[in-house]
Amino acid sequence: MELTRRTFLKLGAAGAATFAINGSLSGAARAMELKLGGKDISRLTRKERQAIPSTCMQCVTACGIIGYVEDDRLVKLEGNPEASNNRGRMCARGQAGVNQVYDPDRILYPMRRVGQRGEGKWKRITWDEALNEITAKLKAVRDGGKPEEFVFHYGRNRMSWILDPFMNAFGSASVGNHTSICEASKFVAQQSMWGPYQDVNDVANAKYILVMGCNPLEAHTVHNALCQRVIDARAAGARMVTFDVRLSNTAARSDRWYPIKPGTDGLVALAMANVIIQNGLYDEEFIETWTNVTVDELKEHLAQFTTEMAARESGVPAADIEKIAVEFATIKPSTVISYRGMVSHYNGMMNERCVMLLEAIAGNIDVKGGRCLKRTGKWANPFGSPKEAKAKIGAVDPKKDYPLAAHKVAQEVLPRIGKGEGKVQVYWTYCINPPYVMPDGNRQMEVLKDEKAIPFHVCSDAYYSENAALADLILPDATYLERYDPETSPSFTIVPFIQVRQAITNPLGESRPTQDVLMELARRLGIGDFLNGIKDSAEYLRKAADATEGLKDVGGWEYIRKVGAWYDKGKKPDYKSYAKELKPEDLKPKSKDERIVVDGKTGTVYKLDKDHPDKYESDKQYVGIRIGGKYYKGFKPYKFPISGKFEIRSALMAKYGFPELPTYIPIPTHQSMKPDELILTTFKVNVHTQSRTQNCKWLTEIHNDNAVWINPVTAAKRGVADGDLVKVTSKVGSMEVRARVTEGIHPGVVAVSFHSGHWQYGRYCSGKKAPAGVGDGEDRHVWWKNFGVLPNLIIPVATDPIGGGQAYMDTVVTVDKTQAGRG
Amino acid sequence: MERVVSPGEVAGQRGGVYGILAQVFLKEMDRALLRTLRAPELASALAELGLDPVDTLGQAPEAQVLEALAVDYAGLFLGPGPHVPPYESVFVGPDAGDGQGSLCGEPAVRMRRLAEEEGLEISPELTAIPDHLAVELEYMQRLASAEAEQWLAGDHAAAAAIREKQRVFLDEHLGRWLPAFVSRVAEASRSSFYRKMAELAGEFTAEDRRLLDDRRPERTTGSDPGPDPDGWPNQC
Repeated sequence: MELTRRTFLKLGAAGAATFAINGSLSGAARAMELKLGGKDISRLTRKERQAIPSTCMQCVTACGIIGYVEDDRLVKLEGNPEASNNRGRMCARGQAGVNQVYDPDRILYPMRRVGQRGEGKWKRITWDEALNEITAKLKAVRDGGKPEEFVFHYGRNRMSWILDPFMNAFGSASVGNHTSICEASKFVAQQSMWGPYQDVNDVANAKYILVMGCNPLEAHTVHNALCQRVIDARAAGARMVTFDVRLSNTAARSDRWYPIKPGTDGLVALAMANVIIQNGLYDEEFIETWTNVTVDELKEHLAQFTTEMAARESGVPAADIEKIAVEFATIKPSTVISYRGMVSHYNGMMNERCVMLLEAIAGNIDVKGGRCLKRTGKWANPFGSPKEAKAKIGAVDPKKDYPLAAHKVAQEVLPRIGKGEGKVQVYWTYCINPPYVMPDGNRQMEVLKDEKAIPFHVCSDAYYSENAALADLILPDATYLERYDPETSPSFTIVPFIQVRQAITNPLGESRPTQDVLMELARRLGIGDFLNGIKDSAEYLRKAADATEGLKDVGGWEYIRKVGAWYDKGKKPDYKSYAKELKPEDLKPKSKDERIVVDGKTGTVYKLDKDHPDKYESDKQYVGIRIGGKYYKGFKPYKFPISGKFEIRSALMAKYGFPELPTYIPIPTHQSMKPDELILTTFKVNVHTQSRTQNCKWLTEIHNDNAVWINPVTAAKRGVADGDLVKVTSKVGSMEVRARVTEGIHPGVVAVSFHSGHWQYGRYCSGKKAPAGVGDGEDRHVWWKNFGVLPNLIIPVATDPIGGGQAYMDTVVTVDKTQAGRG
Repeated sequence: MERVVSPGEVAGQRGGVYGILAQVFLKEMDRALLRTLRAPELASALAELGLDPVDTLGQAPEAQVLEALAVDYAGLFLGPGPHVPPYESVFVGPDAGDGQGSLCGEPAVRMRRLAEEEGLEISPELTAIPDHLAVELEYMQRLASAEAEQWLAGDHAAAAAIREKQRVFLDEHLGRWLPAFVSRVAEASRSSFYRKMAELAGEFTAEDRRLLDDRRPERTTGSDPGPDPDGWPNQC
């Protein structure tokens, strides 16, 4: 381009006329306008940073945080000392939340695809166009009389307060989730035994901690709260023993580490239970009073699980199992922390039942320092009670194949849709990334690309995830730092609390919280009666706070928006909550057509009404339990109508042909392994959460690449040295990854972390976007060259037949040195 | 004989170029802007700069051209796509540990303050962030126009002060990142229009910076600005 000053200025002469400040180009938008009023702002003014409390969502823990704002910009995040779970502390992930807001590859405008789905060509549209399009599609679904063909599939969902009534009002129960790719099998086991899902290990008061298949010092559900209390307990002298295939940082900081064979933890728990029973170290009062088995029955059942048998299967020496069992039963209080490493197996649900049995016979249930039921705070709900819609479940219904999978089977949703099981007209994804997080990602993507199976895919996301890349419409979601939700989490002080999530900064660009989008859509679809005239999430939260029991007495919204968290300061932990006696009025019918009856055999006290006129069939009927002529709260059922006792013997399991007592179920695919085959397991690192933090530059600078852990013995047989490139092959695919040769892994197992290997999600995750910067800065932006591998692509869909959980830790693989060899 | 250009006219015309560029990068092109760019007066000026709107934008019907440009704009400046975020903060990392390469860094704050010092505020409708390329270009347009007004009003000291402000702004803001931005766009662009406009912006801004260094305004003969205590000696 031959440029001279004169030609420039000629253009300028034309431009000056056309683009004058108060120019003639009618209606042209201006980037700036004259400010009215005499405001004067000095360059030298240093304003005080504004501190706004809120709740983190970098993982599911929901730590209380404080965001510091300067010049309308979030500059820093800290823990909120008023939050009783995290007590002002915060992990690296939480601090890097700032990066979520200002990710340069963030999607800030509604985008509609141009060309083929997945082609990567997009066009900006207005919110009005986007909402009109969605409204028209959803209206058509509803008017067609098959509302269940609108499928909403979420991942991290902290907005059920709006999603549930919205879907209910719409008339679709086709709501997918992500629980089964995490801990669904654990939850189902707990619901089958003591009612609610989730537990709280009261480790702060424990003297002996068993860790089975998890890594609480680096990653866990409600991680920060648990982690800091494990550390407190260790500092106070508690012992810790860890069973894990891998030497995690938790294992490394334990008194003893056992690299156990995958999927045999439940058997070790049974063998320990056997030792405890045979040695008379059990809690007789709890077993005889609060469970539905007797000591004698247990003695007889457990006799088969000898320490020798457990040692043969698990690799943990029999003498050690015996020693740990005795310690566990005698160094009190004690508890078992168990999670995905133990439950993400074909036999995951049963493994958790075995651990629950072990906790029960040791007398650890809901006691100080033991395994407690969860206490969560309750927010008032200012919405109108939605009509009890007879919502139909469409494509996501797993019940016919998995009758007990109460948390659904997320990994099978897309494969089932692809097979034509359940028709879909509109598929809306929110905070979920199936191609990346689900097993057999290539299969998941095939279905997402199939416009016959999924005619219209709306994706709410703040980033260009692998899932968003396969959408028809992307709605720019607000980040968790720009939105409002009522929050709570299982309390590690055993006193329930509530926390606020409020916007620390306004949504960037045109991003908009999905909560507000759903409210707007409810109005547009004419199903917004339940909103009670509430216009957005901010107003909802204000009204909720002002109506919440306890909180409203100290100032409601005005209190919590400034403090961030609330709990009853005078309340003490109510351990053994199941043993609380009912009051006489609890046993009286609440209305004329209600009757309260007692099951003579189980002692369950329940109500009969017009919905359930003759038998106990729903958890909603439960009133309490009668034991020895007294009435107690008992173990309140959730979803499954269990008795109200701690159910070691499960009629529910028997009903569907599963073993009624906790037992050992060998993993079928592990019984016929060839000598050169290994088991692939996956794990998390301490600076990332699943799939959604790798766009945080501060975190990805710390962890951006991964390697497969392999034992020196195993590596030597394959001629593999540390740093070599190896090929890991399963029945659904293979991946090339560097080997990390280490004693810190079971010789029959290889392990790889699962936060890496994005192929979208912006420059920090995948390097796909042009790294930006000038001068010295340029290389600093994305200085790392490797983005790691994603093991999920070679892990087949494999479901625990009882709990519905994905068996991520069962994959049989071969490992070979690649042609490239050492690199 | 060529017409003599006065300092005020030069400033006004410089503002005109920044004005065109600001409009082009602010958002997807609309019908009015397309027609303006295709109109003879601008088209011929652009053509002399090697940017013939007829060639660059093609002869296709308006709707088709606008659709294609919208897709290019989205891919380049909004993402997803090759995505070169048109924000200073993404290119200039100021403080270690303060999120180099992220949106809304210090430059965004400084840009907002600079605007505020001129009695300007970012339009409430503008959902882009203050250090957006269009804002910085429009800021230069506004300064150049203000300079022109001072020349015309005969306040040469004020005009010189505004000139200095432009020089500093190019050094501390636009000039620091525009070259990198332009080369990223050139690498990424599918469309010759935005690539050429980006290159035009880069070359014009560089040339403008040199012009601002001149000890005298662009003029040959004619009106005499007179002695200037702020350093615009009359050396004609």
